[in-house]
Amino acid sequence: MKTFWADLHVHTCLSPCGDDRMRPRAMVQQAKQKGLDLIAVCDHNASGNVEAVRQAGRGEGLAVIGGIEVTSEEEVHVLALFDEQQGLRDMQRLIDESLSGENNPDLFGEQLLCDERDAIVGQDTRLLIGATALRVEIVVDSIHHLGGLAIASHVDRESFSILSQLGFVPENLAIDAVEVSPRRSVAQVYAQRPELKAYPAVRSSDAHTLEQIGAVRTGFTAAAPSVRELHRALLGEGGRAVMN
Amino acid sequence: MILKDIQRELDADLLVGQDNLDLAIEMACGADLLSDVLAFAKSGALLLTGLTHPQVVRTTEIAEIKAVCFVRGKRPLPETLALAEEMGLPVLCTALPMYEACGRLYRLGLPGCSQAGEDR
Amino acid sequence: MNVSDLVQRAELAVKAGAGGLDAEVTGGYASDLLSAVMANAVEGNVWVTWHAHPNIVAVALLVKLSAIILVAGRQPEDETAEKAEQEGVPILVSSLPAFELVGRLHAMGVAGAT
Ligand SMILES: [Zn+2]
Ligand SMILES: [Zn+2]
Repeated sequence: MKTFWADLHVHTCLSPCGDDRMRPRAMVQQAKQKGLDLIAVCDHNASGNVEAVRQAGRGEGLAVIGGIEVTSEEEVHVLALFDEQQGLRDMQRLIDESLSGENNPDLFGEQLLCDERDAIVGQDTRLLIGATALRVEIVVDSIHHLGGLAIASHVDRESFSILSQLGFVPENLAIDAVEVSPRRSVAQVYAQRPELKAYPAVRSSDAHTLEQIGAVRTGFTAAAPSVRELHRALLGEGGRAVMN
Repeated sequence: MILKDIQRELDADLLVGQDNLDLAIEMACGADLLSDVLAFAKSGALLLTGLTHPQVVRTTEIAEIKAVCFVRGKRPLPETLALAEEMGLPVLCTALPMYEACGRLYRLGLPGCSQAGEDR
Repeated sequence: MNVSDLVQRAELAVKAGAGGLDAEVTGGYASDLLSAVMANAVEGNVWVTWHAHPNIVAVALLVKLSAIILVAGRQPEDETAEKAEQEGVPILVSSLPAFELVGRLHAMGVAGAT
């Protein structure tokens, strides 16, 4: 067992709001400088840069988890994290089927696809800032069905969080953890909303620029830097644990 | 104002609450963010919303909302309706968007939550 | 009616984007779901919302809205105000909740879609 320092929510230049410099090599370098062992790449409704970041991380000893920050019908943001490429691909397909509209790069920002050497290889033309037609329970259940982990994004933010959109966490919503943004501590959020103590918490940067990567991090003690092991750490299984 | 007046003004379908058409409605609020409803809505109000999630009904219980009107032609999910039936919460459904629905009711004389009643 | 008429008559505070105050108002749209606004609001509408997030400015530009009105005394985030200022999208603030503000605007002749 080992302790892994993770930033479980970083965007790339594929997100319309992601900085142009958020490219695989640059991100990996920054993550290593910040002492991270692991990052999860979560672009809005997209996963096209996951493999490039993973390859960039491979040579540098940085583990990269593939993820998507899914926007539900109610405009709740949910992180979907996967170990298996197949799970991520199937989740992406589900999103593609239920997301409409075309991006306007001048207004929302460019959606750049990169290779592992930071070169631009294409653009995603879909309206990634839009909302899927999937209600939040379907998002969470689909993530689980496909073998992933579902984390409610930035629950302390007043826009696009489960609390802002739905007032409180629906009791039948099977999220695995809640994410706290850099502006609050987990203790503050738990004190403010005691009902959230029913869920383990992680703290992530939600980085949209290089400088923000690793601004806050979550440590977990487990056997490997994987989604499966993170899950077990969130549950406190077999001596595994999460630290914020 | 009673529920029947509201139904007529918004040309709304009454999905739940056939027995409640005489229910008195004293004020209204319009919101798509349920955090907003929990923070600002007052007990006894009508909620106009574009969200059709069952969480709307659960929120009305906490905020003591008297009736809900779903706007812009969004039909509530079956689960939402079942929950409303169970709780005896009258449910309307109008094709009008939020803006037009709120505007018409206000002009019909229905006050908003900051004008009417006392805080819960 | 243009945006500055609304500012006066509905007692709105101009927080940013005063450059766009001359725009003609074609009607109103109220929603806190950005996807609904992108799909349904039309050019020249004023948009009534609780959201203070920077994305509202991009949405306003996409739909070519005449102004954004924040309700219940909400203040635009700094980045929102900066973007709105640059783009000349008026951000106005009302102390009223959405229902009452919409009611007053409607009574002034700013209608919604039917
Ligand atoms: Zn988010
Ligand atoms: Zn994010």
